[in-house]
Amino acid sequence: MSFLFTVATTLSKELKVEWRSKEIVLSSALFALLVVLLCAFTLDLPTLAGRPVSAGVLWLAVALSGMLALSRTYEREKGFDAFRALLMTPAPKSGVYLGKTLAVCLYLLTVELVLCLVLELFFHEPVLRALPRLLPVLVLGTVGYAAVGTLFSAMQLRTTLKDLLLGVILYPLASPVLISAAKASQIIIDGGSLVDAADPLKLLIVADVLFVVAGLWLFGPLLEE
Amino acid sequence: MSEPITSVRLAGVSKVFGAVRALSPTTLTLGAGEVVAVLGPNGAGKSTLLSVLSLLTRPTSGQVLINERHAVAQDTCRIGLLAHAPLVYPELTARENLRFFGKLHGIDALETVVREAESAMEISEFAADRPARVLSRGQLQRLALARALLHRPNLLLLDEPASGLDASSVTLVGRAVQAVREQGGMAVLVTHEPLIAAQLATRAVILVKGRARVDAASPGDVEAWRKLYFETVGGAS
Repeated sequence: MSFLFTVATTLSKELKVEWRSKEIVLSSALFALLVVLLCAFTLDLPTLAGRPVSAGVLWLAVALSGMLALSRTYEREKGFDAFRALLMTPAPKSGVYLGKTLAVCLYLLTVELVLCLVLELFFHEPVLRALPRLLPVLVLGTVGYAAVGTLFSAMQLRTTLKDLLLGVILYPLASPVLISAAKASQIIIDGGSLVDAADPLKLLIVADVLFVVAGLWLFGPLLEE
Repeated sequence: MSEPITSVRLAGVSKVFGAVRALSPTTLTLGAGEVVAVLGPNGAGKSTLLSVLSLLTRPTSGQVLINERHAVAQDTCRIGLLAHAPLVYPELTARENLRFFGKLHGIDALETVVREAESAMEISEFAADRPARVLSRGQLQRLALARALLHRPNLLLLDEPASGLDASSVTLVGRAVQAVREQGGMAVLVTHEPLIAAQLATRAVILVKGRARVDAASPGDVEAWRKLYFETVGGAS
């Protein structure tokens, strides 16, 4: 059973299920939108003039709504206990992990693109104009967050603590990704180039590599009882 | 793909969940062509025993030996499991579920195998157009059985296989067990129904409070199974 075939099969299944239910993208987008609106109406924007806040709000919304997406991804596995049949196949579990991580990335990137539009509207910062330069940061930040999130969300399948455990473990681990992504996004929305954001981007790339490698390595053992 | 399973041995296997001992040290040997019916009251450890045999649950002590060597994760691909839950994705149709698991099992000529499985379990009529979440309990059970048999397992594990099935559908379970035996495999079925046990099993194991009180050849007809069960369970309670 080839690794790439397992990745493609898992990704295709995840996207098919999401296309039918639209549950993860819709609920995550609505939740993220609520976070943005709360920030837009409670932050005193005129006194913050000249100090970009949209990058922080963007990644705050991604962090919170992302947990919802991660949680729902595994709820599907638990519905009819399908993951047990999955564990009994000879498919490499690292391939299942990568397929799931890529699916979560696609869900979150869709939400982030919607958020960029809303941030431009409510925060009057040039988020859409910066989008071509912002896109690599969004991708890198999302990959890191999804990589660590997909790994630890899998623990939901083996514990009754569920979301509590996920929150306690996920946020401290994902903080280097979220902080670096927010810092790099802030520089870019502020008119800077990717070179200007090199420092946080380097940290982001290192965290991504570490989390993806750890996920590929640990996902299988984590699912075993 | 790992080698075919020709024998399974649980050597002093026990399982403890927190403070609860679900299974006391149990020894059980299964050979090719055998069909073992595991009976027992609720909480006797039947499902735990099945879960240990499926290699999804690691025993607290003891060993699971397959072909007289330690069981490894790859052995699961020779095992078919019909559990309480159907182990399928609710949003996918029956056919999509079978295709998905068939792909992950690396089955050749997948479309043909899927159609054969649908036909054998009589689910062709709704396989393509209804998501699993809207299927009735009996239809789900037949889909679950098709999924469990798709990769032609040598060891078939059935937890309450007749649950939700009407009388005619129960014959599907019998056919499934027979097919596995004909391929040189073996089956373990957990059931509360002495009738099912009498029809299918060659051996009886009766668990009480996590211990195997009986491990003997099939006592014969359904009345003999009932008598053996009530004598064992009644005597223990």
